[in-house]
Amino acid sequence: MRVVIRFFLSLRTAIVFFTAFMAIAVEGSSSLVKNLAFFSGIDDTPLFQWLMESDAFRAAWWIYAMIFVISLLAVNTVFCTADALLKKAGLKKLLLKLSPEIIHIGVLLIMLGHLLTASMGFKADMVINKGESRAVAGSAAITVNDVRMKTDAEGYAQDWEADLQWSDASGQSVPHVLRPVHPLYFGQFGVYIKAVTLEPEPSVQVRVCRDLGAPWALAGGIVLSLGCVTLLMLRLQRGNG
Amino acid sequence: MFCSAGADDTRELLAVLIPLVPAVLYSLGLMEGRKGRYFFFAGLLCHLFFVAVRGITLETIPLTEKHDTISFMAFSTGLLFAYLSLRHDLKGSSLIALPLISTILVIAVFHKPIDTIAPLLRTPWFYIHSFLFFGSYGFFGVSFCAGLYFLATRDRDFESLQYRTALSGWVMYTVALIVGSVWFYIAYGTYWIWTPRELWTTLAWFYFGLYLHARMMKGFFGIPAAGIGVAGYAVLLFAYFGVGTVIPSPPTQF
Repeated sequence: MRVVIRFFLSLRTAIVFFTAFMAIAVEGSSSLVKNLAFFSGIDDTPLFQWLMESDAFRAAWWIYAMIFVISLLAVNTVFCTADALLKKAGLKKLLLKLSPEIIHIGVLLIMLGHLLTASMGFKADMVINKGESRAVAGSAAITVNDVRMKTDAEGYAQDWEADLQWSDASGQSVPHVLRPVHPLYFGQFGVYIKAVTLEPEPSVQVRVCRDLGAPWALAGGIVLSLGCVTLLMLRLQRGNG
Repeated sequence: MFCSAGADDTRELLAVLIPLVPAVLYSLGLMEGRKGRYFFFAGLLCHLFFVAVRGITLETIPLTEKHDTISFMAFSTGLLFAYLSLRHDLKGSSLIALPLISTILVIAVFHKPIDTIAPLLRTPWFYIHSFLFFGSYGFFGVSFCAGLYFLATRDRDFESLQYRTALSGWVMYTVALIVGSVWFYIAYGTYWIWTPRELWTTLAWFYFGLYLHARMMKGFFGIPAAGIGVAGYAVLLFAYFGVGTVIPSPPTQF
């Protein structure tokens, strides 16, 4: 047991995991390119669902390896953070002293966010013509009332928007003008506009998703940013680092 | 029609020539003494003017496409180097920094400026992300120069400068990635996609994380850690320039 604890408390272990992660990422980036068709659907469903459905360990082994290394890194981070917290408790300027641990907690929250995103949630991409409705996640529906697009002199799309109506099983109906980077959030669902076309008939491409990991990842991002800034203050104040 | 084509040609020629002026001034900054310093600061002012002109053309912060982002990468490196040179004696490290800044700026010239901004980029989240992301390249660039100078001269001050600028760059890069995730989420409904570009961007973050951790370890402090840090800049440049050219990466999609 002591050997395991010492292993996970070591900075050397973290370096080994970092290196392993990077090696796997290099392999992954080349694998993504070599198996473009196979990986084309990876971003359309939650990761774990895609891994189970695609059932191709040979092409996607590096994702399993990445998850494994990230999990080990998470354990390493928990051990180092706990150890540092126990040692540093009671010191003055606690926030500044604990900034590396705040960073680690932020990273852990982001990992948790990714875990939830990969294992749960809902994603659906759909093309809806003007005047038509599409069912979403069983109990809701989207109706597209109008589609508009603005182009520049050379014909490039400059902006687009769609008037749509979100209705759910309870009878609630929400009208909304959907624009790029202005999604519609309704309950746990988010609706995003991808593109619009006016020919042969006006239609809009939308993504509907429910991402349970996003709030955790955002919380992790905020904690990580705070930790980073305090760490920077501490180190720069110290002078030579 | 003829007039319009002629105007387009002139605009394209100017887009190439204008960035070359600060690039030449930066190179002249290699001259010894005050003269070199004047040329360097003149280059910086000229570069700032060029960035401002692009901003006026686009009617927004010019950080939406490769030509402008690469130019900003060079500008942030130059600006940080100028600031540090006013506070510290950077000795011969300008022999590394100025050619680096000029080279990056010349690379920008090879990318045709694009004046159309995609609707999905029109949010403050994207601009903050882009500003911090390419600003961090400036810190990493100066860190690279300091690290290389330390490896060449063994001057301990430069090892410390390498670490502090890398740490500042890493913090900026981290916040840039977080803000970028927020932008990506409101634009595409997800904060992560599986493409070589995203993997290499994350890999570069881990790489500098490794450097910052390694520097704290016995046996790594000094030359080995400095070497890791210097190589990190190559990783970072590859993540931006290599992915998409050496490793094809599909454009960002849902």
